[in-house]
Amino acid sequence: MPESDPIPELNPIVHGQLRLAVLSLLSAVDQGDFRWLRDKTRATDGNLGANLAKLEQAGYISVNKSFIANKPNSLYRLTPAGRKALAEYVQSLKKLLAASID
Amino acid sequence: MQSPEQAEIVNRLTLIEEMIASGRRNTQRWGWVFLLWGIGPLIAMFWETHWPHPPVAWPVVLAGCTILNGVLIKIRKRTGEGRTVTMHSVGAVWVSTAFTVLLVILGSALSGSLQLRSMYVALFALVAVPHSASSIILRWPVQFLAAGVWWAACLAALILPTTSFHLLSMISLFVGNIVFGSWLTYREWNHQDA
Repeated sequence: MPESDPIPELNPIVHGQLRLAVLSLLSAVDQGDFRWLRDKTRATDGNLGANLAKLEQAGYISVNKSFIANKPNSLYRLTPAGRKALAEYVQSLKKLLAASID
Repeated sequence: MQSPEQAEIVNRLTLIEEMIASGRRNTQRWGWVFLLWGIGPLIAMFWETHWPHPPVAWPVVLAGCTILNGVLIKIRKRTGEGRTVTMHSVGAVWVSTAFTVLLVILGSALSGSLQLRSMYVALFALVAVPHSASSIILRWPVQFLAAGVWWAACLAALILPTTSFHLLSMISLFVGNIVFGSWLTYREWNHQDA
């Protein structure tokens, strides 16, 4: 029986469904604001806010807070570490899928 | 038949793919702009030939379209947006062109120094440029066709009698802006329904 790669462990930060959706969305744009992320993911404000905080804490996203017409506006951007984490997560998923088929 | 683990993995991969596609779908949210700037000038052309006070037709309609454009952009921004350098660049090309077109129209109207033929040739060429630039930046062959419509109008304006410029403008606005804008808007709705 040929040696196979060790089964990869999935990054728990990226693995959360909403966090995964946010990272994927931000990978397609330079930056996205809170409302845009909320509408695309159909998450509640609270749930999205909590998950964005986790991603920011992990260094996977950065946030630029400003005001537009006296209203707060948060712009989120995927960091290089976040892009790398997402890419590695996708590779891990593919390896897991291959291992499950074998 | 997939095991639960396989199904979970496939679901995750599908989620990633869908979110990336959704993020990229910003480019088709501007169909309404082409509809506005296709229908608006047609209204102005109709007004100056059929309604009272024809001298104010163009200033009123252009001002109205500009205000409506700004209002609709603000409303759209309230729903949130994902920004890309690419779309910012495309937007810059359009804003620059719009300003230049307004400058040419106002300048020629106030000074009377620009011949009708030269003005139409310049305006048609000016509209073709951002369509063409946008199609190259976004890799959109369909928009290049829209640019082709305006280039054709530009060449036609060099040859045809000035009495046909009205009809030439109407055809170009309809095909180059309204048809193109309708196609963009349809694609936007289609993706949102999916």
